[in-house]
Amino acid sequence: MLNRSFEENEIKKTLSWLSKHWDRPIHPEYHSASTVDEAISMLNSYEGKAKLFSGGIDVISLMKNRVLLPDVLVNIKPIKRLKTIVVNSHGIAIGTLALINDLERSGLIKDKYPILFETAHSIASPHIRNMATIGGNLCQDSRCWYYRRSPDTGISYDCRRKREEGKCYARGGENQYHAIMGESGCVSVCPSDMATTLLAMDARIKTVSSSGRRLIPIDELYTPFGNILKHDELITRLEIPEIPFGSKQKFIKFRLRKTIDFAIVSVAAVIKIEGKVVSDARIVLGGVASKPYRAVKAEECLLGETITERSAAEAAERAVVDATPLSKNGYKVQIVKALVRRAVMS
Amino acid sequence: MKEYRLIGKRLPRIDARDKVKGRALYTDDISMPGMLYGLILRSPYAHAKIVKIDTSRALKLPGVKAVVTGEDTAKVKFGVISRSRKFIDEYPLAVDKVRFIGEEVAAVAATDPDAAMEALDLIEVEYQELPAVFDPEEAQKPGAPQIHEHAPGNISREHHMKKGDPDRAFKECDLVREDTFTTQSAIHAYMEPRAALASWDLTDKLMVYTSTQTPYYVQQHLGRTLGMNPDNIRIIKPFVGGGFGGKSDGLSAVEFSAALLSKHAGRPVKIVCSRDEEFTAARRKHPASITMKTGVKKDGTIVARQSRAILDGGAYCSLGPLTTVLMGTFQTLPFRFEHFQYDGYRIYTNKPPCGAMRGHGGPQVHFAQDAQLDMIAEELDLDPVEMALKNGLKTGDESAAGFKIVSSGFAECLRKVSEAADWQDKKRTEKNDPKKAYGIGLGCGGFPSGAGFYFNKTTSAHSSVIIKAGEGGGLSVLTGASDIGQGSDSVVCQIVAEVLGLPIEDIHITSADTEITPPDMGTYSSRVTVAAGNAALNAAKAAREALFKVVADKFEASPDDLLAEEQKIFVKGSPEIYTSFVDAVNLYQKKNQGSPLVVKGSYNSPDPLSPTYSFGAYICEVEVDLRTGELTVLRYTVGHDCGQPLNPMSVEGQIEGCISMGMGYAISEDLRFDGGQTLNPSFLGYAMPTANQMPKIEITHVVTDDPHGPFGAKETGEGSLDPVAPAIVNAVYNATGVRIKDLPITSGKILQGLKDKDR
Repeated sequence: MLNRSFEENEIKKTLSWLSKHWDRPIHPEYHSASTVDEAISMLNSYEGKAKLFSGGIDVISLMKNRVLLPDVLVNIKPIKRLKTIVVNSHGIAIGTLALINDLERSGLIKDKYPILFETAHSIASPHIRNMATIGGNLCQDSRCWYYRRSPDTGISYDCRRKREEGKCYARGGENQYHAIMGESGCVSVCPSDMATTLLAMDARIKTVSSSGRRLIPIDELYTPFGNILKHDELITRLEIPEIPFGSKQKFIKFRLRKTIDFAIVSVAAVIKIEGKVVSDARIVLGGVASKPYRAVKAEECLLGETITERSAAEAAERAVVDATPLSKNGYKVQIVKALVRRAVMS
Repeated sequence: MKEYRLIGKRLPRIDARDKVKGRALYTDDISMPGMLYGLILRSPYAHAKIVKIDTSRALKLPGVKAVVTGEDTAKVKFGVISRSRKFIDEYPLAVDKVRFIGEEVAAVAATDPDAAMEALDLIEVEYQELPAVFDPEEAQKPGAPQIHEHAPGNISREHHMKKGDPDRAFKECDLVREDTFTTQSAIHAYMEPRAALASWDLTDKLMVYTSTQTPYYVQQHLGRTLGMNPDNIRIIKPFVGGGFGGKSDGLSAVEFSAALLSKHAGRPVKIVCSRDEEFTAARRKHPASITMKTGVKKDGTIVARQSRAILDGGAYCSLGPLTTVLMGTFQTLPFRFEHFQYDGYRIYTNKPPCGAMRGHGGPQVHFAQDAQLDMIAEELDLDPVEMALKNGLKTGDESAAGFKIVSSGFAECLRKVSEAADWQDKKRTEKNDPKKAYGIGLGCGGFPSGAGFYFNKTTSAHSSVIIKAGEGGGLSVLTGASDIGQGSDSVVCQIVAEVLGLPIEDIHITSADTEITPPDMGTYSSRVTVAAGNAALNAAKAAREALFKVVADKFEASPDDLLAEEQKIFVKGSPEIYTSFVDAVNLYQKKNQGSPLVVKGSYNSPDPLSPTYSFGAYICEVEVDLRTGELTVLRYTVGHDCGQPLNPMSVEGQIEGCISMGMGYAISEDLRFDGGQTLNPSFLGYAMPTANQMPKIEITHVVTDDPHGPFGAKETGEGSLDPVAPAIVNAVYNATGVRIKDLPITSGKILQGLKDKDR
């Protein structure tokens, strides 16, 4: 007992000393919000120096690697109404705090939206799925090794993603897991599997901020350096329209170990077939660009066609016509083709 | 084969319950009153002069009790291979210069881990950056940065060996192939990070709990670097969560810093490495470039081998000078050839030092050897299994590097696995599915059961065991052997119990505590079962002899006619007239004025290289997705000769572990660098196989009765790794026609290979 109080006193002394002598707080302040309004007003009052926190899967690991050093963490876990999942005849509404595991366990989702189940089931490990929220999954940051490198055992990279004048180290370095589509200052890919599938499902995101509510189509969420959300903006809900009866839906993820890992390439496809021909198709690629990439040219070539080995192969070719691989990731082009073909044929 | 009561039986480990229930204490589970938490400051530069270190701000931070740097040390270098001065090249805390990113520069101890972490940021180190070199070829060029003064051209070790006349022999061969193989940077990734807890008493004696494979060496090297008599240092190895060669360097900055900080602070200090530190700054496996030339006769007989290996050593020696030698000698197993030349060069680079890792040079050269023999077999239209049978080392043979084979079940391993895996049929299966291809491949191995030589100058035996009898009939067994999860404690108990006819529960083991247990060189080189096992066997026999003598007097029989079974000692053929084991022990004490029954046994290899060698043949079956390059390992069929398996469950555990590790090496484990910086220091970035990737494994124990091993047992922990990766490589070729000469086998490489083939 004596030891313990002794140590606690020392910790308190340390904290007070540091706050006097140091120009940054050692630990972020931690606040809990029990309503959306409360969360927004906290975010607003810290002017971009606060970060939302629920499952903590990505935020904690970014903080550990000193990529993210927020002054304040705003815990939104107590906002119960953001946890709900509603499935009805219009589609699905998912609260931002629904766990990936909740999506995986919902019988309705598994029956009616197997693509969403497959995606949820493929994410990380059961332990992480028990903690991670769908909102967090959408907002997670790049997994680029350079961007995430901790300075604790070496040097961190002051890269383009962190600073406008910075350079992109992956472009000339270890870019085997980086983008093959699009030109931008940062070649890392959006790691969210949910984003890939939600774009194929034509989902929209509802947000709230101090300046009001927004409804954002998911392909407008991402920028090459992150997302368009403002510092005091909070995703509240996802709205997914119903997938018409008779549509095929498939999510396929290619990765190193068949579990745990992020996608090297993933494909989410929702293809509507009427009278044996394709009347609508949404084919989305993950792991290839800074946002989920809609393979519009592949979709177009399927419209009005019946699905055959030939049309699937054609769609696969069309999916990669705009690919501009980097020095070490040309193999992804092949994999995209194989996965698109497989998803279309499924 | 003789039937034993305990030997060869599937027994649970003696510590299994404690481990499963979380009762086993590892270093980080141990705390002491007043204990401080230590952390290590590491170099952010690959090569730099240390101009100045200012620790004053860190020391002023409340809670910080000590900060140490190289200036606080005796500035004595260490090196695990301390027989040669040239290999003693590393300060436990950097002095004047750093040579890799992650090198230990300073250490702090504070009342809580957070204060220690903050203190690290307050240590001001002024560096003067020096030009660095990361590629072993570049490092050898004139004008390249010199990493150590004592090593011109950055050559850390070169080793040359020659037998016969390979140049002449190649001319007489029907086929000569030369290929270059390269391997990546891999790391042990033991589950328990390195950790140490050090404390001093008021008579200046030091006690250290540490997660090590080699407590004896830690004692010796800590004594040397702290400038004190090693006998005043007590090293205790608690439960250890794996090592695989990564904790066999005799000393690490973790133990040293904990000891020094504790001395300065006057309080116990515990340091536990983070996973980031383990992946960035711990020892790893040598990446190697191996150019191998093998000449054969038309019938597949191997005639000559010439090879050259360049090892990327990293910044310090570690066990690398030995790796350089072993990459030569290990490629003479498990095949016989008369003409052999090897030239190995280990090159210093500004990267984390490479040392021993399971197989110790074997996985690199066996990948090269088995892949090349597979190519040769194809060119000659021979069956690789037949070719292996023709060339395999047999009992009585001597390998080109001088390994004397006293027992070999290699041929039987080959025959058994070939049959069990349906090799002949599967090998010839037509491949015409455009989407998927199936393939089958062979990997072969052989491995010494413990080195017969020493790393240091010592008069101690490699292993010693002391047995002390209690008056209740139990036996205390003291051994320096370090159980790091491989099960040596269980094996030692099993051997003693077998010899003395006792249940295993009556054997009470104390292991790896340098104050109490006799010296043992440690857990490395696949030596523990044979060396510590033989020491235990000798000690147990000595105990039996002492007891038989007093019981024989009582029965008026000859000691040679006595048996010890089921806690009784009796004359052969008359088990009904006996003395119980307890009575025998007490009889002994009575006859010896109350002196306790204490006996000892030791073991040294009769051969300076190794007493004996294990063998194995592995057949691997894979599935390759031809459109994505995805590789799935379906099945391993294993034939393994480890002599007499003492506990088949432990042997199978080793083989399964080797398959997991070998699959990672072949397919997904790869530390990537930016200059000298490791880019993927996490379990996410460094892709070890997970449970769901494990294939079906079928193991056949080929039992040979080895003349040197305890009860005929040989090694199984390292040799089992060697054939794993090449078997996959050969299976991928069989499936796809893509020959991988550069590990790991990524889907990108398979796809590229398929493309090139179509061209």
